[in-house]
Amino acid sequence: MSIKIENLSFIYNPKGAFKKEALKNITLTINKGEFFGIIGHTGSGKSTLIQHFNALIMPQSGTLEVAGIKVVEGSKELKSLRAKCGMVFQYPEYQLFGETVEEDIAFGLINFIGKKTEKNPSGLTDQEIKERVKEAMELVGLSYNEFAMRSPFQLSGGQKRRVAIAGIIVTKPEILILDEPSSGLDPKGKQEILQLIRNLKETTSDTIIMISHDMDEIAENCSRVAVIAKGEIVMCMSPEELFTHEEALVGLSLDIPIVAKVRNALALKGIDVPYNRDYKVFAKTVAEKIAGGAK
Amino acid sequence: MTAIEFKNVVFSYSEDGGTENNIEPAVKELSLTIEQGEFIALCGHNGSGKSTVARLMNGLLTPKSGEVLAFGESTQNKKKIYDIRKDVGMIFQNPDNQMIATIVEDDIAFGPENIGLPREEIGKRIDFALGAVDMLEFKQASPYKLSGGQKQRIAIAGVLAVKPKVLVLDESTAMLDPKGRREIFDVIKSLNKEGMTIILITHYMDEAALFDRIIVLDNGKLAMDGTPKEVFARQTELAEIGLKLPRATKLNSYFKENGLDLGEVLSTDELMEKICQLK
Repeated sequence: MSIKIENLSFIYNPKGAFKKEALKNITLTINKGEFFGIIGHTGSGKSTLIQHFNALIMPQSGTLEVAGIKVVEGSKELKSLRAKCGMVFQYPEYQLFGETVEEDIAFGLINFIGKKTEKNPSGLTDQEIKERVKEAMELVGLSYNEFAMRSPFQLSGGQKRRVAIAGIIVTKPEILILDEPSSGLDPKGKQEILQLIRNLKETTSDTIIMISHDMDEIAENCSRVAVIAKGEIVMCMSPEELFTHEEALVGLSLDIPIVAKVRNALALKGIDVPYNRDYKVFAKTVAEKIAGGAK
Repeated sequence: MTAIEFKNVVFSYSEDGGTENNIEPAVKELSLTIEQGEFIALCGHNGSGKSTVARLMNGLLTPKSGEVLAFGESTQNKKKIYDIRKDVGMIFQNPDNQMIATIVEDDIAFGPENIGLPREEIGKRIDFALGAVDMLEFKQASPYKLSGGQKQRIAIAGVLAVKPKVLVLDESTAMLDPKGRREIFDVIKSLNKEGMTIILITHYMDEAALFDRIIVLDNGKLAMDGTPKEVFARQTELAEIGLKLPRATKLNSYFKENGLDLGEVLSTDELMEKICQLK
């Protein structure tokens, strides 16, 4: 398995006046090969949870194991954990800093794996670093010859985001975590980023964990979804099953995909149509059922 | 009354200290009239020129050729530029970049102080503006502790405090979650009911469907201009310029293809109403 969490709790400012319980007794296993979705209202604890996954926050109580590495204070394996479990933050394009695209992408690689020296024989040579950067750029759909020497700040929003993602996957993480990867992009940009993530699942990172507010996006991509509310996992199941619980989700200020809304409304009328995230297939089944009933 | 008028406007970043790579004009021969009190969604994919058009409306950018008039005054008239910016307020995308003070009240006071209003009037304006966005109880709060939707409401209040006639929102809902987006929509809808012209830039067509008029830009030119019904009837063209139909309209078009005719549908609420009315 990829991530194993047991009884994880976290409190911000545990001794201060602004004490806030962000996570309560989370127990969750994410398996290798999953495309796992996390949804929840702003402030529900989603970000606190995923920041534990690559040891940006250390567990206060409970245990956590990621890619076979126990996340504990003082562990010498944390750098290697961060190379194995890549994290793409929300609006990652705001975190670009390199003078060139190549420099920006190589940063994490040099930092987590290191250059080859006498002290670090397992490090990478300059040539190897260049090859890895080139490979990462090609995976995110940016031509090395065209973009490597350009300033990341001159690129479009969608291109910047690709550079930022390349800077994470350059370490070939087994697990890739993305916090609202399509947020703020136009419809075409959204589609491209999601396609990119699906491609990465096939090539570099076969476990994907994605936070999103877009329920269609969750329905379309995820095999399992956890719903977080007030620091607790309140539901964890397939999207098909999850979106039948409309009332519970609306109660948590969450949306459901339009197809699920229609399905649930029809079910109340005694018309049972199986959920299908493909609008076309779903519409055809609905039309047939209703026309069939009328006959 | 005409609020904003574009007359054959051409704008290019190349000679205005913009990037060297962008030599093609960002706005090409654009003519457009916006009447006072309209409720408009301005749409287009990334790079279509929509943010440039927004910045031309209150003289943050000025045309290379052609003319932009705000309430009859040219944005190139330097003597009138403060009046124009007072009349045409603008809200940007990132709520975190628009806060300047450590207390909500001070943040709202910035605009009224700038136009030299007396102290007593500033107090009234703050209460009016916070009331309009339903944030009065946060008067003494720190903006940094608010949610994204609340911060955007504070940003709107900051602009409202100078009592503009037009409010331009440049993708101001793009970084918000669905709840925050609804909060902003409710606020601008009620401002429009009281007579304010609203222009929201967005690429969420589900959101655009809720406006009276949709203006679509493509490659710096006017591609479509009409009611949501008129614009969404041109599905193929929309797809070609990288925009999608609202989800409900899309699903409804598949129903129709398969012989289930529910009539016109522009929003999720409309579709659900029609589904519930089925025999």
